[in-house]
Amino acid sequence: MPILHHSRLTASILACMWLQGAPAIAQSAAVLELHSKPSQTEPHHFSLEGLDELHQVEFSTTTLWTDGTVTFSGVPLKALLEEVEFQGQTVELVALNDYSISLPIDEIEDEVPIVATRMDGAPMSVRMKGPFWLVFPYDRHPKYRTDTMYARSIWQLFRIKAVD
Amino acid sequence: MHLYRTAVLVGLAALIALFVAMSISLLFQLRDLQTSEGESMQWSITQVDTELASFHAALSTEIGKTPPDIDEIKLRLDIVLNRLDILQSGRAAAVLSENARSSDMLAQLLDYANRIAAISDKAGDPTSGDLDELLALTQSARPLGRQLALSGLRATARQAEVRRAEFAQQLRWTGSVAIALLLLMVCLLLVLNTMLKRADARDRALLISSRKLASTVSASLDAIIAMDEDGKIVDFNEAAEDMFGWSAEEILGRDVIGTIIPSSTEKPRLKEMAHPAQGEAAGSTDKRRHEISACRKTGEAFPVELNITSFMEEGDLKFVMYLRDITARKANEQKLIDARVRAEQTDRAKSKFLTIMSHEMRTPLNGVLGVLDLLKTKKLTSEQSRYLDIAIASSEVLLEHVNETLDVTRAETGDLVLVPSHCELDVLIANIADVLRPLAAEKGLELVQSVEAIEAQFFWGDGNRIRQILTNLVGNAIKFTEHGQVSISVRAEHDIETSEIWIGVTDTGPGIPPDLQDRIFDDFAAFAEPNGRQSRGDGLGLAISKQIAQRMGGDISLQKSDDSGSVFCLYLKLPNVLPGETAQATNEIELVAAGADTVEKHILIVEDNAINRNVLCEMLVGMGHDVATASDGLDAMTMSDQSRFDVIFMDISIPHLDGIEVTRRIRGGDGPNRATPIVGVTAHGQDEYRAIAVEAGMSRFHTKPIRYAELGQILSSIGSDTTAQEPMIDRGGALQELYNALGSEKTRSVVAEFEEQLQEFLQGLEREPQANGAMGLAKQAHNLKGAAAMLGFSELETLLAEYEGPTTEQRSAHESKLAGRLGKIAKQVVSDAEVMLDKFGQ
Repeated sequence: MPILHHSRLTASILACMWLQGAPAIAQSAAVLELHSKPSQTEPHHFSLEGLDELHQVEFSTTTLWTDGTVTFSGVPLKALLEEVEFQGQTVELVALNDYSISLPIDEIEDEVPIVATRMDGAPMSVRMKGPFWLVFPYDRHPKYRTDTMYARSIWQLFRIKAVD
Repeated sequence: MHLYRTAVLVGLAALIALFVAMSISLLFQLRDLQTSEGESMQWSITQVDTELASFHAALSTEIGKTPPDIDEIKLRLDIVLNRLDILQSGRAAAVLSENARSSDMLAQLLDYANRIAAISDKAGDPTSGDLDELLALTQSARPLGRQLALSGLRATARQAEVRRAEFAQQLRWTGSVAIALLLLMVCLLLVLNTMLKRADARDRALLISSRKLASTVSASLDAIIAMDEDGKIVDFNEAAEDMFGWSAEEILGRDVIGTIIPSSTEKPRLKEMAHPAQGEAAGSTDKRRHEISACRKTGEAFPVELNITSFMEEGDLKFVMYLRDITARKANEQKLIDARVRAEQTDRAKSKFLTIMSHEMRTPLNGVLGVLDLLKTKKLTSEQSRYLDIAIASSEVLLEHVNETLDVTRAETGDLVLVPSHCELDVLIANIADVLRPLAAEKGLELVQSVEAIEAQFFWGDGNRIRQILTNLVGNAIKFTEHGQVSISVRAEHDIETSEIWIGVTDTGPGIPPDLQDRIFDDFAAFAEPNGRQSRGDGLGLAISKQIAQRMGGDISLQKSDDSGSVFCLYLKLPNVLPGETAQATNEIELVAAGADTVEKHILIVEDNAINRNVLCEMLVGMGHDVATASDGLDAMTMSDQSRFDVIFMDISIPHLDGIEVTRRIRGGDGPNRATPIVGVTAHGQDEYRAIAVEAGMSRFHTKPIRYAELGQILSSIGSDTTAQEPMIDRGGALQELYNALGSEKTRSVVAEFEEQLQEFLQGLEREPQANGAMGLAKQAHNLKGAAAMLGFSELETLLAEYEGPTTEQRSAHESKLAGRLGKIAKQVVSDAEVMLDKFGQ
């Protein structure tokens, strides 16, 4: 737990650094930017409609951050990465507030997690953790209810990057 | 045990259940810890502060720019709103609402959220005034965000602490239960181990005992056969195989009846034996041994001793028979029985032989002694006289042998019969002394008799036997003493009913060697005399004397024996007879000189043995009597009917009618010899016939041989009787004297009273013949006897004397006959007396 704590702390510090040093993000929130290769400079861009064309998965679950059971639908992360022929060992996901997480490629299951595009059938606004939210079916299995999983549940997602 | 095991199992199960429950609870708690949402919440709450700061920074930057990037501001604003939205939903709301302060702060922050949302959502681009307001609002909200973050941090930390403490507690409990379980398991293991050990030991003991049992059964010499309830053989040991000839394989499963127990009739008996009656089971084992007949395979029946027991084996009734072949034992038993029967037969044959021999020897001895006695009356040369003395002495020794042999035989067969009567001890002792004094004088010995010690007293005893014992003792004393004297002393202690008498015979002989003293009373204990000459006698004397004494209730003992002499003592315990009575023992021998009675008598001799008849005839003729002879009973009857005799000598054993029967007929008839004295003579011991002879009416009774001297004495003793006309009623003229003294009337009344009393006595006898020995009747008899003597009724006196003393075995045997005769004679005597009194009156 202390390690987790530490990493969380590190994440916070990193986020502050981003906040201080990095240029302000002024991009359309409804577009997902995907860098399929570590060295690639030109990323793929997915709009809500683009994502809707990909393989869709839907599940209902409670979350720590919402009241009651909610239904998420969206594209499995794995399907999305395969779509762009993702190369790299780790996936780095970045939120609008510069929060980011790293996900080893081999921990990604076929349909978990998903890049949720809709909650209870409606697209999500930035105020409501939109436009995209990486969610796990927390109620399905205790393994999805760990701190790691909660930390990986990144909302206001706008960029996915390949990292070696 | 069962309850104990159940309790342990229940306890164990409860502990396991508890442990499982705790473990599950622990697992849940662990999962809760793993799935901790606290960290995530805390992150969410602190992020509010970060986002507020980020928004504040973005606002400040954009306000400084011209124109400001409104999109950027709106994005940041949305991010802050999103963050604040999270605070009022889900877990974060729950965490923050727990604390009043944080919920207050939350409310303020939400108010802030609403306000900036309102500014952001206004139509059209925000004005610079709006932006300034946003900046001011955000600036004032930032401390709130910071404080809320800190507060959330504390709350989640507290929550985590509580959960950790709970988990630790749970861990401790579970650990305790686990330890308890472990301990219990260890205990159970130990118990189990002990039980296993015990069971193992028991198994081993059981194995050993079952092996022992098996070897015992197979090594047993007794056949052991086990059966089930129906009698089917289920076990058959080696001894049984040997005994019955069946092998176990052949016989197992077959019925015991029809194989080894031959008949089915034994079956119920077997069951009975196996189930003895209550109480019998607890009895001795001997009672449970039964002898039955068993059967070998060959069909041979043989006796076995059987013991059968039953037991329950797993609910089935089983029987076990133990059988022992007792063929040999039975054979031995039979041999012993046969041997005993043979020995008894031999013994009887010997006794019978001795009795017959005694009788057969006595008969020729009678002839020899008679002739020798006769010869002595003749004129002989001195040499002839010397030879004759030797012959007579030898014959007398022979006679004594015969008598002793007879006594031994009687003693052995239990036929030694005592004939008690009145006996005057001092007279008896004086007689013995007189008889033996010449023998003592022959050896130069003095025979002293100290009679002062004994009072003149009458006793009830067998005088002849006492005489026999004393003669033997005194005879021995004389025989073994060479110098000095032999003395007879008497000491007596009188009681009311009985007297104890000690008669001592003291000699001055060499004494009996100590090593022989114990044996002198044994049969055939004859000891060589110092000079090497065999003593007279066959050594039976002391043995017989002792037996006779003991038979009388007395004893003979050797008081003292050393080189100064020996003392023998005859102890007797005899009933007293009232003094003053002068009852005459019927066969008391009085030493009267032979031939003193010179009155010629008409005598009948009834004797079948020609020699003895002739000898007796010669003797009597030699005495100057007139003698007639008869050789059998019928002859005797004829002769006694034809003429009256003064005396009749009657042999008991004669052909056709025996002497007893002839006497009975003469006495019972009305012939001329109705009152003639009849002297019974027998070659048998006189004891056997004495009572019968008296009952039949014989006046005297003698054992052969009758010696010449005795004959004279017999004749003289009955001479007075024969001289009287009516001997039965007036002996010595007593009645006449009474008549003279009292007169006719008084005498008649005395006779009448006597008759009355006598009738009363006879009725008493009839009423209680078995109790005739009772004191009342004895006393009555005594009184009547006195009266009879006074009246001179001698015959009655004699008969009544029989009832006077204690009952004897012999008398009770002839009781009824005696009573009958008494009644008959009484009747006659009384009528005769009346006739006589009439005569006196004339």
